[in-house]
Parts: sequence; structure tokens; C-alpha cells
Amino acid sequence: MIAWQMFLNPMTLPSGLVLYLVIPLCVSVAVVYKTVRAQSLRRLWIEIPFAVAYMLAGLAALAVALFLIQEYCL
Amino acid sequence: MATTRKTRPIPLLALFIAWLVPGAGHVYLGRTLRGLVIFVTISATFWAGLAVGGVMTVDSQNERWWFVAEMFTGIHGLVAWHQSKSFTDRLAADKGPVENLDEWNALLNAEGVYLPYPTDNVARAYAGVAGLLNLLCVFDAVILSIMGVTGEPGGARRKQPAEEGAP
Repeated sequence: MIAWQMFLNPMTLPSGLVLYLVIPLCVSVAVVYKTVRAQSLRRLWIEIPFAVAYMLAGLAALAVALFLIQEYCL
Repeated sequence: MATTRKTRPIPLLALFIAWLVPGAGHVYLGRTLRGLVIFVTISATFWAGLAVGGVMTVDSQNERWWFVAEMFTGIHGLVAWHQSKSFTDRLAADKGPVENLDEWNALLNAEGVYLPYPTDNVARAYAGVAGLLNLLCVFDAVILSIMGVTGEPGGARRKQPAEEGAP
């Protein structure tokens, strides 16, 4: 068997883990967005967790809404 | 705080360097710390995607829209595209022409680089989102340079030479 090489072979991700990988992606989006938008860099580290929380809450709300539509309306 | 810029920023130059190296547009505009944060974050996101998905994350033939998004990361996207193209060209040269996508996927699978579900979604989302984030930074750098704004907001570096000479 050929040895696994980073950046060449894909990782095998368990299906249950995929959902949690949205969190680092949200952090990344929040960091860049707030870095561009924040008036003061001192407030950056306060604003980032709030932005991540907003995004995750929004995604969770969207997931619940889509689940309810799929369950009861379709 | 640093000194006032001697010249007005050039929007086209800001556009090019902001695309080529994520965060470099902000460094060019005197926002060094912001540029560094952008560079580290976008680079980490892009290469995390590539670490998850491997060489076929950047696939210019079969995943064109993701490919477009990935190319917004500038040098990172170009390096990954070069890796991917070198690999697929070598594979095509070794194995000969393939008839269809299924045959090509079987070839990639035999080489251990085929991207299965759900790894493909995760890898391309990370690499593609990194590109789109850099697009946001490019827009910001270009708009700021068109406005002639340099340095941190509220700092002493916003005044332009034209304004300094004005009565």
C-alpha cells in the first residue's frame, strides 16, 4: 500500500465529523470579515467571537427551518 | 503610528498585489497588522482544505466554479493548480487517454487521490471560501486605494499630499 502523503492524498473523514468542520470555517470567515470591517484592531478579538456565534446561530436556525419545511410542508 | 505616505496609492497595483498575496493589499495601504491577519487566516484556510482533499481539491476540468473561487487566493491557488496539473498531466502521460469521467475517476482512485464524498465538499468549501474571502479583501484594498485612504482608521495617516498643500 502507498503511504499517505499530506497535500497529495485525501483524508478519510467520518461523516459525523463533517458538520463540526463548519466551525473553523466560520471562525476563518469571521476573522477576515472583522479584520476588514473593524474600525479598531483592539476590538477585533471581542467582535470575532460574536460574529462566529451569529453565524452558527444563523446556520442552526436555517437548518431547523429547512428541517421543519421538509418534515411538514413537503 | 507610522509616517504619512508620500504618494497616493495606485488602485490597479493594490488590486494585483492584494490578489497575488492575500493581505498584501492592506500592507500596501499601511494596514500592516490587518494584512498579516488576513494572510495567515486565508492561507491557513486554503491549505487546510488542500490537506483534507489532497492534490485533486483544485480541479480545473471537473469542478470549474470551485476552481474559479480557488484562484482568487492568488499565489496559493496558482501553486495548488500547478501541483494538480503536473500530477494529472503525468498520470495522463503514463496511462494514456481516457474515454470518460468514470474511467478518469477510476484512474484517480487507483492512484489513491480520488476525492470521495464528503471529503470533497469539505476540502473544496475550505479552499473556495478562502478564495472568496480574499476577493472581499481585494475589493476592500481597491476601494480604499481609490478613495486615497491609507493607514489605520482614525490615525494620522489618512491625509493625502493634495490635502496637505490645500489652503
